[in-house]
Amino acid sequence: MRLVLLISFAIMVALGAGDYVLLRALVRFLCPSCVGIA
Amino acid sequence: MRLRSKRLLAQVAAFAACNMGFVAATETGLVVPFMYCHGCPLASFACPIGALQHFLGKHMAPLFVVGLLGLAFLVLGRGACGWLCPFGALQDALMALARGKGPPSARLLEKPRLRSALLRVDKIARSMKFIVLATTLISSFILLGSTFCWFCPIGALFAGIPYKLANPGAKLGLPFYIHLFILALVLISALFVPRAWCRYICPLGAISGPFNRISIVGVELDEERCIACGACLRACPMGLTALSDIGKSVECLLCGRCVEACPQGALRMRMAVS
Repeated sequence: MRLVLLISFAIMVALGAGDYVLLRALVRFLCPSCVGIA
Repeated sequence: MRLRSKRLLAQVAAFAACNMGFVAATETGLVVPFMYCHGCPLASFACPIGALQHFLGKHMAPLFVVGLLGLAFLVLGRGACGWLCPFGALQDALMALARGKGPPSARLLEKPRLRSALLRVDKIARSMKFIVLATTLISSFILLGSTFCWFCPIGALFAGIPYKLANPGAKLGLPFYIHLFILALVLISALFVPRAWCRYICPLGAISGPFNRISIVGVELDEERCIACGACLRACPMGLTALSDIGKSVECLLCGRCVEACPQGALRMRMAVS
């Protein structure tokens, strides 16, 4: 079970590796409406 | 080194690691296995719940985030909540304020008349985090935005307040004060019920909890040594009520307080790959 999940998650990371750039852009991005700063 | 010192060290290290964004190389596109707002002026990682909402709001499959979280939880189970989460550490600190007499919730549970009713309410309230998780994911997908962030007290503490401190001229809207109000409510709740946020609300806990049964890190009970004195359950910040829940329940943070409390040494932290 653990091995199957491990492989599945590793595949998901590999398939979604392109999202890394998007996520990197998200870090330190402060959504003004999210924290209520006008 | 004692388990308590190790945990404190891990919590401080995790908090420091989350705030390394001032070094460009450490500003990563990775998510941490606990909630920490990536809007923090010093953030070095992304918040997993924030990232999930971000991708769902864009109608993209969050494969990278789910994969990373899955791998982290396969190793740690819900241990990241007990050992790494800065908001959890803050609640632990608040719980320490009530040390001595014990938290009010524990004292109320000692009253036989109230005990069963309180435990029933507690059990129902714990399912709220699953509802929060489902609502967050569905509403982000439909409303194309990070709906949980509109109310998140962790965002208020680690991003909103620091942002305001760093930019005193920034105009604050009503949502900022709503955030502060929710943050105050959560922190006050933690004074009465240990880890109230983790027990009832945290959507990430709803994801990581089920991994406790298969995670590499865990807590193991030696039934031959156990004398069923209940010291482990009294020490549990999540208010577990059965020995069989330790290390396995969705609610267990794998924090190891039960291990420290056991006078017989019947409990131990384990790392088992097989």
